[in-house]
Amino acid sequence: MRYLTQDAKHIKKFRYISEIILSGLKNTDLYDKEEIDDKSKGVTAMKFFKGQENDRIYCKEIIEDGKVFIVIMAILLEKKKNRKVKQRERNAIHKVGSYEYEIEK
Amino acid sequence: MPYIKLEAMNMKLKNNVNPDFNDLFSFNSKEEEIDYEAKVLMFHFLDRIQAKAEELGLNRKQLAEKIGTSASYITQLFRGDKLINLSTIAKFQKELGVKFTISMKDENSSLDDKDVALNQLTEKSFKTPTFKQVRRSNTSITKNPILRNKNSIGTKKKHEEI
Repeated sequence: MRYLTQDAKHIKKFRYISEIILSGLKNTDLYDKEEIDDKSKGVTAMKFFKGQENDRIYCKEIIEDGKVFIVIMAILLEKKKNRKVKQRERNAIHKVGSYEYEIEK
Repeated sequence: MPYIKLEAMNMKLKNNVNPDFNDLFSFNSKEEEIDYEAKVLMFHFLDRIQAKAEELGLNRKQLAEKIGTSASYITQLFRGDKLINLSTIAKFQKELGVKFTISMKDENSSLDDKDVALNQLTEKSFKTPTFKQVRRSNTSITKNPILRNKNSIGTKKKHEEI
């Protein structure tokens, strides 16, 4: 939360990403799948300031009853600088991929 | 006082959710909210533009070339760093061979204006005609002077008087 509320530009970006997710829009510059292998099924990334700081919040998408779509923010990764997925990022993605959630109804 | 806009986030937050989360969707000014709404509108256009570009097999550079701009400008739009203008939207329309259609709805309604218009039309169409109206329409079909003699000005005039 401290990351998101640190300044106006972060808040703004988070609002855009949230809107895109909740409206079901496709915008890979702001939010995209991060399924690098079998251990990362359902992992996605919110992309903050691509081309600059390139921070990411890794999320997990869960489909309930084939229709309810839930995105859970899980891990913040600051300053992703390489195009290739480094071990540090791979670990984070796998960790999020392994998370299991139970949805209370 | 800041007001909360949770249009997309139409959800109830549980007590254990950090209350700061609500602040993320509170606007400090009308200008800030308008800027946000403008960007959201843009993202809807871009979503469709991106889908069409993919269908046509165009990458960002090719897409930019088509409308006479740079790939980095388009990237700035997609990232929400710049706001698209209507001329650019018109260029996309022309170059991608598409037409954007517009609909509108009241803030609290799930129906857009086209649905509302259609409902009104349907209501009118199924309105039971009164007896008088039925007789008039029968008269015009069976005793229509124009149908009897199309070229007769006199009968046409008579019909208009009816």
